[in-house]
Amino acid sequence: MSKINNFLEKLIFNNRGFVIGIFGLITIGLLYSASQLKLDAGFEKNIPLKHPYMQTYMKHREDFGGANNILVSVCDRSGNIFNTNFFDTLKNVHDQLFFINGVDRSLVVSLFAPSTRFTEIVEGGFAGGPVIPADFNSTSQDALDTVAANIEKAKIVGRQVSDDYSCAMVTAQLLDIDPETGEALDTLALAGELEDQLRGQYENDKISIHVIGFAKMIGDVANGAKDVLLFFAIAIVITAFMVYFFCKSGMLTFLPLLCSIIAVVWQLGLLTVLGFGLDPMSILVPFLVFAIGVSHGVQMINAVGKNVVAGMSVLDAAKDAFRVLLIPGGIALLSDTVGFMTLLVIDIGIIRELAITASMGVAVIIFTNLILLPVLMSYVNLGDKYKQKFSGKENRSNAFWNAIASCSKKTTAISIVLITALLFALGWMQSQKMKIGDLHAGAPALHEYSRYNQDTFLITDRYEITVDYISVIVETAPESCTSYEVMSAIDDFQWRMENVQGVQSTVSLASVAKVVNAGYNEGNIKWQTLPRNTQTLVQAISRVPTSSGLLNGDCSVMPVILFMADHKAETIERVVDAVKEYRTEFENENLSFKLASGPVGVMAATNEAVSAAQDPMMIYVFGAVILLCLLSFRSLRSTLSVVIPLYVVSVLAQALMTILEIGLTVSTLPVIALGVGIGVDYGIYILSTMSGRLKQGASVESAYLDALKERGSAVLFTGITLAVGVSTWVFSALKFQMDMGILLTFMFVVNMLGAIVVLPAIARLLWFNRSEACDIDNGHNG
Amino acid sequence: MLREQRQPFFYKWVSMTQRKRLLASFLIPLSFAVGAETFQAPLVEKSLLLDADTDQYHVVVGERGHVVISELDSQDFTQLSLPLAVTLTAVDVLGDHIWVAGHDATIMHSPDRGATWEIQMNEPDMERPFLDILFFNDTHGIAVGAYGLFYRTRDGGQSWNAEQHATLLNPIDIEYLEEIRAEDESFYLEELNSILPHINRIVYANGKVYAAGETGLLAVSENLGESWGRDELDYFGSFFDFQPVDDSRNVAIGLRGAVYTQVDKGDWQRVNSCTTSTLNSVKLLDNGQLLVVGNNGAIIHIDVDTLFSGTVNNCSTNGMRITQLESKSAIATVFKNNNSYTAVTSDGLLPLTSK
Repeated sequence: MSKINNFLEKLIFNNRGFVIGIFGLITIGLLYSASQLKLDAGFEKNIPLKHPYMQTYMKHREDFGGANNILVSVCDRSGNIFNTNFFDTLKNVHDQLFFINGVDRSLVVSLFAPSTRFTEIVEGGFAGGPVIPADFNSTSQDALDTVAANIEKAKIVGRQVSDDYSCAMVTAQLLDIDPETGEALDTLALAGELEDQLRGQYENDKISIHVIGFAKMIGDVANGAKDVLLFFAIAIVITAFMVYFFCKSGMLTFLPLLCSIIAVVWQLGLLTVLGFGLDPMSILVPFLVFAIGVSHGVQMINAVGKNVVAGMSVLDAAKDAFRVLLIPGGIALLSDTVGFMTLLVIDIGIIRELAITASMGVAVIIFTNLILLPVLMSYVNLGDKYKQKFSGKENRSNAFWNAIASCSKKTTAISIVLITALLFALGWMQSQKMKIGDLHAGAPALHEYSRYNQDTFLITDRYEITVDYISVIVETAPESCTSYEVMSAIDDFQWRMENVQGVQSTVSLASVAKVVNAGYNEGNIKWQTLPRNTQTLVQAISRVPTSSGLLNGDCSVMPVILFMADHKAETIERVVDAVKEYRTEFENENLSFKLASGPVGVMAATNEAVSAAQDPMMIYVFGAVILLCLLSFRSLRSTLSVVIPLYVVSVLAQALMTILEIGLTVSTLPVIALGVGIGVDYGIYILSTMSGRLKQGASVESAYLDALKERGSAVLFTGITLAVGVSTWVFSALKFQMDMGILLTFMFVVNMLGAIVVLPAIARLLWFNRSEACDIDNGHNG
Repeated sequence: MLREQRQPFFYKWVSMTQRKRLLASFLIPLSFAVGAETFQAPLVEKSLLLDADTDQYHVVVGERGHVVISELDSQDFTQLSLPLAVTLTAVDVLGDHIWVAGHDATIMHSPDRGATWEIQMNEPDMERPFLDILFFNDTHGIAVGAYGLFYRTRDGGQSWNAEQHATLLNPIDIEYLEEIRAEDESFYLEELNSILPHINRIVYANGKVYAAGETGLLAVSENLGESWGRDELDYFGSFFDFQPVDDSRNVAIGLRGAVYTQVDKGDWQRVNSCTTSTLNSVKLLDNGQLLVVGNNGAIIHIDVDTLFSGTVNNCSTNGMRITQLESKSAIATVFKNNNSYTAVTSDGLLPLTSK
């Protein structure tokens, strides 16, 4: 190892100008490509496409539309829609939405859609027509009255018109492929158009516009995510102040920050080179990379500074720091990289992107902060003034380190381990209450007070519809909707599901056919039943168009749509379990009830994928960390000393999630892995010094004291700096950034404490015979 | 499946009409006790419910074999287990006896307030529903339904016998049928079987049986429905209920807000109800007023004396007061419970309060 180190040291430090030149060129190149980086959001990235539910979803998406829809509620602030201005606005909104690029024009529905029709039963049979007649004149009160009557006959109150007649709805399905460019739809551009062309144009003191749907949500997230730049700036400033406070040198402050920013530039540049965009949900990753970079940079300036104070020349000090830190720093960053890479096993596009983004970002830090930084530092002139600042402080800090080092005294160590075990037990019990999925109504990425969630609440409040629905797809033989047996099975299944707690209402071709059959019998509800007679059944079904979304062209596929009270994980699980239980009663070789489509179907699949990924992810992350520790320390005891505190902290973080009511979702799942990846750094730095001393036969306490003197301040400082930087996210406009900020702050601080309090205590117990006496035997002075 | 096991081995080779004759002549007992088959639904009180009857306790029936029962003046309904989950359109309660009737030409009976049930009739292949059932006493009853479906029992439902009443037809149809009868008796029977109007309701009052049904059918029988006299009427929409107010005055209601009155067996008079909602049920209240309910949540309170006071065609002055159930659910009928009325609707049991 040291041979390679020496070789690399010579190679790099003998060609300092060349190295800097290469880094400069790469940075300029990647800066250019980073400037091309785009925010990139897509619906499908957020779903586990290989999950069986999603296979069903993809298979039938053509016929029934996807889960990617947009709901625009146009509301009259006076509380009554029947006026000229409202209907004119509604028509404009309908037309405007129709022409927004990416909207499936065949599926734009509102009062003004030709498919919105009413039927009524008269003596001679049926009578009907469009709800808004072709000759509709919005200035005529009679015309408005007619529309009001037609709305009631069409039975669309609660769906297309709000229960209190204060709003009307325009809904649309979105395409996945941009029809103009043939490429994937730019969801964020579409969200911008919705905001500008609908709300911007038509919201005024008489009309309010409320837009919900995945595209709008992710657009709002992207807008909120732009605040990250501000947090980034704040974090840089805070970090700069703290680094300066730590090293008392402007130049030493500037260089680690510069190198960390270079790392971010490289990362963003590489993303573009590899053809990725930055998803709003993973916009925090560059920030994380910066923070990790700073933490390793601080170790570097710490080592260089200490060498200089000890009397070395700056060049030699930099060379020495490079040689000493390359291995622990490299191992730490490598374990971060591998830890993040393990997220690739999760079959959800956005988590894979996060894995690539984060692992790449951490990998480049190896170059920028372990190679470029010492090379740059070797040019810095640290005069006597600098040395004077630190002289005399050694004693004071030694007293501090001596106090901390008592953690590795036998009795203290035992009590620390016992307390840790107790915390672990409590945390474990609490973490078992971890809920999968979104725990709150509305979009979990956004705050409850956000416009998007307020719009969601308004729409779910004023209408009977909800965006929380799951479709069970009935697959059967062609023309099966004319079979009484099949329709009757669907009808019975639907009724069973309607009785499941959490299901608010249901609809299927069977339930609509029953109502139509009553219609054919003078509207007599005593005939609201499925006719056994095939011709009569055909007659009833023929009035239901395929555009209803209740059957496909040859009626071999018919969804049963279940509208849910909410999308909490336990509700979804209960409904999905009920589907699985009841369908066995009705299924045969020609008839199957497949899960699932609709927004909640997607959530069900995502929840299952996330839940299934949780354990493997932890196993892989810890597996990677353990393997790398074993390789670098070649000691099981050292590895255990690093990994045990890390595991306790990750369990405590899960407990914190349950206390804060943060569910395990696509966006929170990676946090634990990220926290473990970063948390391991502290332990590795401390133990790399300790294990050398221990191998020489020193006592745990003296080895630990040495490690503290050498690395302690940097570890302490890094933990606090990272935590302060990340804690600013609590003020983010995005709920998920806030959640992540809290969790990461917790993990940074507690992992740091774990490394300097629990690690030595465990080490003390593992090297139980290494009492102070050893030092005397070995003649080592601690 | 159980039902098939009970059928004689030759059952599947005989045609439907033959089967009816088999039923009528051999009196094959269809009744037997069967285990619970209906799904016990938490939402049973919110399901499609279609009829109610009261005799020391309330019974409400509806879709999927739903039958719920409650004590008088109680809001707690219990779902009963029935052997068949067919849509039940009518219920008649007499002492401890409950008869329910509905689709698939089904009649089920419980002799013990719903504890046990027997299937008295179930003919899915007939593709006809019963729409009403009425017992004069605990042995003699009739069940009526679509296309003039008419069955009678004199043994408490152990055997049900088909009857066809051509007199329920309107004069034009009778004329047409007589023509073909002269040529071909069997074609006449076939045609009669499909041309007879739906009998939507039968009402027993003052010793007479009244029928309301399709194509303007209003008929009265003096002999418990064995022969019928159809009233002449210049209206061919459907009637859904009939209510004698007293010995001389009758009210009938039906499709698209139809309200007709009759005094002293005279001509029926249309009264403007100012609603186009189909009216399903009319009840005579204790205070002598009429309560009419119908589709789209229509509730009409009618002051009887004003209604019959003359030819007042203006619905603001003819004694009618129209309101609407808040949910706008179609109301099949109402029953009195604890001094208030409960609506039996397409969305289950709802308090009869208008918005």
